[in-house]
Amino acid sequence: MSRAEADEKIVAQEESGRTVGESLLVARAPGSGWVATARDIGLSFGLLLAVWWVVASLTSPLFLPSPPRVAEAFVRLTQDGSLATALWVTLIPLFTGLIAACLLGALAGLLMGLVPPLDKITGPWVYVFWSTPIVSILPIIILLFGVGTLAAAAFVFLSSVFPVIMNARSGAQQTDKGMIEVARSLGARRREILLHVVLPSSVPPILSGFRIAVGRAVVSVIVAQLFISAEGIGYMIRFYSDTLQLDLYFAPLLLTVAIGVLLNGLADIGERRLVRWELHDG
Amino acid sequence: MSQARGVAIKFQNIHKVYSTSGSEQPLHVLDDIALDIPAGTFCCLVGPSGCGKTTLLRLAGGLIASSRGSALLDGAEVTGPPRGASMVFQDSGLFPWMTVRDNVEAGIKMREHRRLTPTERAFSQEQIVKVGLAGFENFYPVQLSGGMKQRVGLARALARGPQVMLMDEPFGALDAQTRALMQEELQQLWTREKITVLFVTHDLDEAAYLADTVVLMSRNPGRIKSVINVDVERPRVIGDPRLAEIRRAAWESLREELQGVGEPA
Ligand SMILES: Nc1ncnc2c1ncn2[C@@H]1O[C@H](COP(=O)(O)OP(=O)(O)OP(=O)(O)O)[C@@H](O)[C@H]1O
Ligand SMILES: [Mg+2]
Repeated sequence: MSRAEADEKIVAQEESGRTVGESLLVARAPGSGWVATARDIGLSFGLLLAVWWVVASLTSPLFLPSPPRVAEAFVRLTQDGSLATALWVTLIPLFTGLIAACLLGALAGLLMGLVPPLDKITGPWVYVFWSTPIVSILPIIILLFGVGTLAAAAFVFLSSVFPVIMNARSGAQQTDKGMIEVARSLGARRREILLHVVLPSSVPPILSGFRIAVGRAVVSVIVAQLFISAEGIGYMIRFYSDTLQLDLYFAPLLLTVAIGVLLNGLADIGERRLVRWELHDG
Repeated sequence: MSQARGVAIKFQNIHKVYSTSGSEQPLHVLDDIALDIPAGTFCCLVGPSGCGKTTLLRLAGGLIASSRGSALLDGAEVTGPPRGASMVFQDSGLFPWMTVRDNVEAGIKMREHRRLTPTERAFSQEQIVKVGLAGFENFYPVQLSGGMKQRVGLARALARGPQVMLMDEPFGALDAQTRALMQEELQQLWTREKITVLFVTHDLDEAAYLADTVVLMSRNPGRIKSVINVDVERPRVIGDPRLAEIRRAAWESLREELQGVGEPA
């Protein structure tokens, strides 16, 4: 390890307030997988926390409350149960909308990719919808579904279904012609080509569609609650920011981030499990 | 299977015209190809790029239809991928989402449209062992080298118990050493199995080493130019002067076809 690297390492250790075995700049040691990953993540967040703390101590607490104050607020909101209620009220539309978007989106996309006449008609719709700033349809959603859980779920669905459709569609369309020819040479029938060639080769693009959908779903459930609901995490965020209680405002905000990180992590793991044949070379 | 059965692959005055889209003229790729490949022999097809070798192979494999004339496998006209034929592709043609074992078993599964019987599964496993990939059954293609992938492709072809193997430059993408090794192994394998092989290659040494007959093609349109018999007993050795003589004769015949294209191999 060079002198500069060693210095970096010490700085990193001091800022994160942790003892670490390796520098940030050195690639993760092989063989220590789980522990090393957890340590790296801890280090990374530790650093972020440190920066936050420093900035908070330099500015007015009116703009940026320090980490301990936010932690305190977090505990308070947890103890009085309001955070749990809000979380629950948020997760229901998030998951119903997201799961529906993934399932229906994949199905619709595959169908479009496999049936050209259908694609000719519905393809342009998808482009139009995907290009529409999804927030702008909130008023219509309120008119159709009111301001409750259903409206939020519908909004989540609409904002996350199109990336799934697009990816499933192009996955089915872009199936390697060579692979189809190989299957034909082996004697495969249409159904087998679909099941053993088109479908598996569409899995990776569909999964990346899911990834995009997860991100959009988290954003849109919060947006829906910010604008239309009188409950949920989004509503909490709006309420505490309107009333300038920024320590209380940060608590649900951080919870949102945590949900996003968790869901993305799950999507990551799912992708790795399902597409072993692509990622196995690492 | 090894006794003489007459002609295994027969091309009866085949013409193939690709109707290109738009204003371009239709492309006359194969012109009156007539060729008999006796059962149990090894035939190498050599010719300049674009002369229609792959097209001829795909015709025999039932993947495309001829414009005129027909291909016969064991006396039966080819109308779709024949049960008794196995194709081997230059890029190995493995399904990336299947393990080695699944890829090999797919050769039977997709033909029979059902799960494999225990006997068939054991036979597939035998082929994996035969091509030297025992222990790699659960590997995915990305985890294999080019040579290993070609072995899997070969195992898949063999697992179908084919009468005829149609191989399109199977070793074309391999490095020289691996290719030499694969050629040796293919020769041994073929000597044991006595399958009829139609083998496309750009490599004249490879053709001379492997073939009973080397068929040379010319292009625009693709025609059979000459046929050279290789009467050298097996096992053959790379570097045998008789093979070098065959190579020279083949090169003489091809040379004029290749004006401005450069020597193949
Ligand atoms: N599906 C197709 N549609 C139109 N033209 C085609 C098609 N397939 C091949 N051709 C044309 O037919 C000619 C012969 O192609 P083919 O692939 O059989 O040649 P080849 O002898 O295998 O060449 P190479 O040695 O480069 O592999 C080429 O000019 C090619 O462009
Ligand atoms: Mg070719």
